[in-house]
Amino acid sequence: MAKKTEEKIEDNQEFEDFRVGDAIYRTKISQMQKERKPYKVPNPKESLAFIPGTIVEINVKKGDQVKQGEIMMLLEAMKMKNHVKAPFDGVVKNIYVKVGQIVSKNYKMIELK
Amino acid sequence: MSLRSKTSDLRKRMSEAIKGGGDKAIEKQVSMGKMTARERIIELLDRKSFFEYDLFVEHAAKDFDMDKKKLAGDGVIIGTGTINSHPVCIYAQDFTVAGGSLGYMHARKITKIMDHAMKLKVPIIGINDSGGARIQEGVNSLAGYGEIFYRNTLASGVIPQISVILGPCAGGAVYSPALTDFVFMVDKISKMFITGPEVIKSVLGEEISMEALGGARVHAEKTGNAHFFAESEKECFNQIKELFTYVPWNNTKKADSFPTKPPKTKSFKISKIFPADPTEPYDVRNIVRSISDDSNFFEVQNLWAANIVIGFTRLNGDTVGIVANQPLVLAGVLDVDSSDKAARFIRYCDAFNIPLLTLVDLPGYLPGIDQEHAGVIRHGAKLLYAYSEATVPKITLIMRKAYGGGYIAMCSNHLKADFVFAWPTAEIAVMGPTGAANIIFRKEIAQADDPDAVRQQKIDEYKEKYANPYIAAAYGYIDSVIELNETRKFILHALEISQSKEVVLPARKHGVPPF
Repeated sequence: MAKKTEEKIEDNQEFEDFRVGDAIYRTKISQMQKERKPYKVPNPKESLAFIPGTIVEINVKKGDQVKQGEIMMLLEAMKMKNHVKAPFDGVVKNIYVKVGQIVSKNYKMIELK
Repeated sequence: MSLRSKTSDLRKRMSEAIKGGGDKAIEKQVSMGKMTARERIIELLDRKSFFEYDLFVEHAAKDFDMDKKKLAGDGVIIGTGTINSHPVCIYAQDFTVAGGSLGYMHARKITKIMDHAMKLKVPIIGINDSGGARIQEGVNSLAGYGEIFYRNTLASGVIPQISVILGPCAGGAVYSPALTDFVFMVDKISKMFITGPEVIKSVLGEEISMEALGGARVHAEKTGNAHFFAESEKECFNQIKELFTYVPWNNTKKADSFPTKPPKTKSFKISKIFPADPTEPYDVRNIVRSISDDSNFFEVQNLWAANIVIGFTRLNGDTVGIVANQPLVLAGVLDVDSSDKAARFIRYCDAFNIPLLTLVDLPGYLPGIDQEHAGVIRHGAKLLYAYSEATVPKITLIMRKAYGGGYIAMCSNHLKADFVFAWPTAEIAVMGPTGAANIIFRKEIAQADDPDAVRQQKIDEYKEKYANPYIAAAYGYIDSVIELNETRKFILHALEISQSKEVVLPARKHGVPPF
C-alpha cells in the first residue's frame, strides 16, 4: 500500500504555493484544505436550523411583531419538538420555510428586522 | 451406539453447522464478491493452524417464532490459531447466518474469545460482517454490544486488537472497531456508519449511497476511522500479516527482531532526496527509507491527514515507530487531524514498547478560522500529552524548520526526548525570520527612511544569527548537530544505548488527556 501511494505522488507533482506564517512553501494542497468553506460572519437577525429536522409548526407570518423569547416555530428533530425562539424584540422580515419542510443544519429559517 | 457411529454423528453435526446459512446464502455472499467467514479465517491464519470453538452454540431468542429457527453457530465463528507462527484469538461474523446479526449467544461467543485473548495475552482479531443488532432479541442484543465494548476498553494497551471490516458494520456495532488499535477496510466491501443512508434520507431528505457515506475510501481518506485500505480481501489479509511482523504479542513483550540489513542507499540517498531550501518539498518517507533497515517502511493511515506520516520501520532489526512531518503535503503543518493521528500512534507505540523516532520539519500550525473553531488547541494538546507521557525511548531528528509551538510539540528535549539530533540545515527559532524581525525591530523599521530596505536587512541579520541549530545547541536543547550521512549511525547507537530505559511516572489512576 505504501508503495502505491509513493508512485501516485511521484507521477503527480502538482505543487502549489502555500503560505504559513511569513514564508511561502511549495507543497501539495490536501483535498480537505481545498474543500474548506470560507468563514461567514453570522447575521444575528437570521435564525438558522441548529439541528437537521422538519418544520412542524410556524406561529408567525411576515410583518408580525415578535417579543424576545417568543416561540416562532417548531423544528422537530430526533423525536423532539425544538422551539425556535425570537432572539430579540423585532419584526418578521421573511420566512424561508414551510410546514413539513425538511431542513439541513444551518438552513436559514427566518429573518427578523 | 458404537464409537464409529458416535463419530459419524459428530461429523454429520459438524458438517451441518459449518455450512453456516446454507448453500443459497453462501452463493449470495460470494456473488457480492465476499469470502465466507470461515474462508476468511483460513486465508488469514497460518495454514492448518485454526481451531474452532462453540460450533454448536445455539441462539437464545424465544419471541417472534425465533425458537423454531436454527442459526448455525449463532452467526459467528470463534477460535484460535497462529499468524507468522504466533498465537492469536479470532472471531468472524458470518453474514450468511441471519445477516450476521448480533444476538445474546453470538455476543457471548465473541466475549468468550476476547476473555481468552486477555488471559492468554495474545492478540484478538475481529472480522466484522453483520447487519447489526438482532432486533428479535431486543435488549439482550444491546447488552451483547456493551459487553464487547467493555472488553475492548480493558484490552486496550494490553493485547493488540485488530478490527477487519468485511461487510456492513452499522449503528452501535461500529464502536468496537473504534475502540481497537487498527481498523482494516476493503474497497466496495466494507461499510461503517452510525446512521445509514435510509435514516439520513428520512430525517434530512438527503440521498447518499452506503459507499459514499461510509465506504473504505471515505474512512481511509476523510474520517481517519480506518488505518488500512485495501483493494481486495486478500490484500487486506496480507496487510494484517505484515503489521504483525512489527508489533509485539502483548504489552510485556517486544516485537520480533529481524536480521539487520543496511538501507538501499542507491535508491534512497539523503543528499539526493533532501533540499536544503526550507520552502522546497520532498517526501519524508524517503528520508525514513534512507536510514531504515533494507529501506523498509510500513505506513499507517497513509491516506488521511497526509501532512503527518506515521508507521513502523526496523532499525538494527527491531521495530521503531516513526512520526514525521510531511513537507510534501500542506508543507507539513500540524492541524486538528494530523495531531490526532500522531498522538494516538504515539500512545500505541508507548503501550507496546516500541521506541519512537520523530522527524521534524514543519512551519507550524495550519492557520485558519475553521481550524481554530474545530478545536486545534484541544487536538494539538493531544500531541504534547502523548509525547510527554511516553516512556519508551524517544529520539528526535530536526531536519529543517522547527518553529514555535511546532518545535516544542514534535518531541523536543523539553518533552523529554532522550536524544535530539539536528542536521546543520535545522532552523530552531521562536518563529520564522520575517515575523521575528518585524516584531523585534518594529520601531527601527517604522522610523527608517527606507523601511523596506531596513526590514530586509533585519530579516537577513536574524536569519544569519538565529535560523540554525546552534543557538538551541548552545543551551543543550540539541544533543548533537550531525552530518546528514551520519544519521543512521547516530540513531542506531541511540536506540542501542536506550534498550534498558526506565522512567517512572507519578503514581496515579490515569491522567486526563485532552481527548
